[in-house]
Amino acid sequence: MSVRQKRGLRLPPPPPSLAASDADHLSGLVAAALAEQRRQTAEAVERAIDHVPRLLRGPVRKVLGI
Amino acid sequence: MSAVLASRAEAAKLARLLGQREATTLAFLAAAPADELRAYREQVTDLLYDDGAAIARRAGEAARLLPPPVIAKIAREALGALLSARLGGQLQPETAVAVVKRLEVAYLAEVAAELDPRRAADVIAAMPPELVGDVAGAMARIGEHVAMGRFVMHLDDAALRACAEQLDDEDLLRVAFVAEEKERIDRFVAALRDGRAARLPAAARRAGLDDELADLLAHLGPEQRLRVEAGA
Repeated sequence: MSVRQKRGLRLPPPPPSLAASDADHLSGLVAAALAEQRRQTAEAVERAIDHVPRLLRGPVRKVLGI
Repeated sequence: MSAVLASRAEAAKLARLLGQREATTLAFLAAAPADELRAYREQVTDLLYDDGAAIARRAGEAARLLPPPVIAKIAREALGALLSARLGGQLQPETAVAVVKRLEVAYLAEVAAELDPRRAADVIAAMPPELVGDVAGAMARIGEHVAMGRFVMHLDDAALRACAEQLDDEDLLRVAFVAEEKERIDRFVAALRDGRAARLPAAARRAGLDDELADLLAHLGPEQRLRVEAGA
C-alpha cells in the first residue's frame, strides 16, 4: 500500500516516470510537509492571540473561528 | 536548456518546496523529465496553499481589525515565516507595506522564502525597490536562491536593479538557473550595470557554475548574450 493510500490524503500523483519506491518516498515527504504546515499553523494561531490587544481578542477570535 | 539541466533545476525547486535542504535526499528526481517535475511541483504548491487557505483568509480578515504595528509584532513574535507569508498574500498592499517596514530584513528574507509570488503579486509590486534589494541580499546570504528564483521575475525594472546590486555574481547565476520564467532572464541581465554582465563567465569558472552559465546564455537574446560573452 502506498503512502498516499495509507495516510488517506489526497496527495497529487507522483511523476509517472519515477520508480515505485521513489514515488512512495516523494509522497511521504509531501505528506510530512503538509503535516508540518498544519502543526506550525495551529501553534502560530494560538501564539498570535496572546499578542492581540485584550479588547480586540473577542472579535479576532470570532473572525478566526476559534 | 538541456533536458538534464532543466530537470536539475526543477528537482532543486521541488526539494526546496518540501523543505529538503540536502539535494542528495531527492537526487533521484533529476532523472525525471522537467515538465513532469514542474507539473507535480505546481500540484504540491496548490495542495499546501489550499490546505492553509481558509485560516490564512480568516487571518487576513482579522488583520483588518488591527493596526500595522500590531500586525508586525504578531508576525515577528507569533506567526513565524510560513504563516506570515500566507498572511502577507491576504493583506491590502498598502497595509502590507506598512507592516513590512516594521520588520527586520533578516526576518523578511525568511518570509519571502515562503511566499508564492503568484498569490502575492500586488504586495510584491507595492514594495519599495531598495527594500526588495535588501531582502534579496539577505535571502542570498541564507542560501535561498531557489526561493528567489520564484519571484525575481515578478519584479519591475527598478526592483530588479536593486536586487542585482545586492547579489554577487555567483548569486546571479544561481538565481537565474532556477528562475521561474526563463523568458524574462534577458531583462534580469539587462538590469546589470556596465561591466557586471561580463564578469559572470569568470564567476562561473571560479565557483564551478559552468552549467548555470550555459543555461543563462541559452536564454539570452543577442544583445545581452554579447554583454556576458564579452567576459568569456
